[in-house]
Amino acid sequence: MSMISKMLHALGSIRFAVYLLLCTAVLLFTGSVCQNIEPGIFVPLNSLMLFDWLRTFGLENPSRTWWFFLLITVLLLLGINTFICTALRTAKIIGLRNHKSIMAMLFTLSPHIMHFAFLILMTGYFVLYTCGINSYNNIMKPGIQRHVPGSDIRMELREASFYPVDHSVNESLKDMHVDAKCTVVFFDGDKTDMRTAGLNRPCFYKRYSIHVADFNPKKAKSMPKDVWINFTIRKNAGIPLFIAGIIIFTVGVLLYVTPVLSKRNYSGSRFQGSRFKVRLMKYEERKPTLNPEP
Amino acid sequence: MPKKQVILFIAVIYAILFSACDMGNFESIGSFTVKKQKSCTVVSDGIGRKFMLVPRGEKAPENTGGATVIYTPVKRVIAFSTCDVSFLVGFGILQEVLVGVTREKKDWTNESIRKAMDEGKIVFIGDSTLINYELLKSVKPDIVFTWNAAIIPLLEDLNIPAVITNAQTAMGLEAQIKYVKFVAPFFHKEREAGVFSNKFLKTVEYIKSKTPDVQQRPSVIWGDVYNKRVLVEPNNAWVAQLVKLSGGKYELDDVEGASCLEITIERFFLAGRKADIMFTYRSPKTGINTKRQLAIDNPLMASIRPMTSGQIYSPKEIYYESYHRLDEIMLEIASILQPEVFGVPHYEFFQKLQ
Repeated sequence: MSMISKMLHALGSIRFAVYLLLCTAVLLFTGSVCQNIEPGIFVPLNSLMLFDWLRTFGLENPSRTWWFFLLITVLLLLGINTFICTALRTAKIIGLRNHKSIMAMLFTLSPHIMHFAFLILMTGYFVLYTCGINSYNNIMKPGIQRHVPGSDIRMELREASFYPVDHSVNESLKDMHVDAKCTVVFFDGDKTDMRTAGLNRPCFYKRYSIHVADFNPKKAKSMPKDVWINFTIRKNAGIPLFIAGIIIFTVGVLLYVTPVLSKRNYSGSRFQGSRFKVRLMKYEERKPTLNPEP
Repeated sequence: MPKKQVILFIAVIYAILFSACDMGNFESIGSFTVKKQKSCTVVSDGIGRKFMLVPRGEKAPENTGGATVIYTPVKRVIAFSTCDVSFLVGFGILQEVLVGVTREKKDWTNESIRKAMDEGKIVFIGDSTLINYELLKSVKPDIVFTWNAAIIPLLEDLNIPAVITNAQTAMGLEAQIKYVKFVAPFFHKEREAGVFSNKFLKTVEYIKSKTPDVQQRPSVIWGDVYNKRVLVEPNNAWVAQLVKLSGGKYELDDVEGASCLEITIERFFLAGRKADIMFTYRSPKTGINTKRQLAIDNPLMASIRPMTSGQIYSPKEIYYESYHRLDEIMLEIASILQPEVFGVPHYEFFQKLQ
């Protein structure tokens, strides 16, 4: 076998996957210990992009973050392992397409479709934390405009309203604002658009999502009544990948459960299910003598 | 499994990762960061906003990565916090750069500030919660050092960069020691900041070297009860860490979060019953100079142990203006907790309530 072929088989083997999963478990356990010793190092991960954090806080504190570097490497290898393994098996199943019905082939492919979907979802997360815009602490007062990060669009906060809770038992919680609702006006060239945002109810504008992170006043009777809302503005480049991943995963699940729910076996195939399974397993063990019967 | 190929693959990944990394001269100081680059310094403030400090006369790069450009050394600054003002005193540039404060002249103990306020070089721009923005604009500051994030949009409207100098979680001892390194690049005082920081670190090392000799560890709480509100220093605050380092036991060890953190009164009394020493936030200016006055002001506190059989210390006004003398403050706290080890305290920064 060539060098590349050897590497592909090594990276895609089940044994390698088991080692990687073992490493992941060990590193996550180590990380939970290291993270508790000095949590401050890991807090900026919430506001920085992954590689920004790695090359600053990560490299500054190697004694506390070494496990994170290893974990990312192991997860990357696990992704590569899953991809190669799934790709090789899918290729083999497709190679057997003349020997079974379409439904049987799709049923056999369904776990691999789910694996691919999972990889796409993971890629979406990777893109989210490495690309796009993640802008924190955009504090706005009503009537004052500011630029949406990374664009010429301007936004303005209008009509901020706050909702207090009526707490009958705890006096200190009474009249505390638990929700904020506001109108955000976007000025994009000649166009003006309005959106409503609230706590846990972000508004969306041209691939940007605007989240309410904090607000003031905190209490209905607080002094001074300084009104501001702190927005987190995101441009999540991973959303198309998330949607694609979810759709593909759903397709994979449906292909897997449909024959089961309809109590069908492989009667449509040229082989009985059990026989086909045995042959497929043999094929996947890469026995060179495998030659399916017509 | 061919291990060589897998190892080779991992080596290639790491080579790509590290070649893409340009760590430069990065330093994190709690929530603050300072990153030296070839022609400028990029800092991030207490809430993670980035500022690119470009030397005057040089051109700022076109792509600032979302950072606000500030030309340095800064020549005119407004400072809300006494801590930031104290570093300007420490750098010896107070009269040259400070143009505005949020405390009235009568509240300052530093003579040079009082004199500069008399001469009109430093202006009182209003209480921190009631800023006179017209006055602020009239003094033409290059930047404003503030702890109040709410003023950011108003200052942005005036094209004045606002740098947030407090953090969302309390600064630990190491961060407090190094904080001067965050302020320094704005004024090209990195060398002086290094001297301060090393001096503070040496004091910490000295305290650390002495504490193994400690026989008894007094229990300490740092906070106060105000009208229905209890504010304390959490265990991640530098004072709490210093108490532990100086041979004390911090009774609010399970409390974590921001400085001046609000906790329940029950939790405070649970700690207050066990504590030998209490540090309050109230300076003598508030009219509290004795335990009796404190008990009259807040009868709820009369029953805690520091009031009955322990000790209570209140910070003098000078304490809040002396962060450039952090080494002396740390030694005084250590000597209050362990007079046998660190000597009798001089009570320069704290006052003992009788």
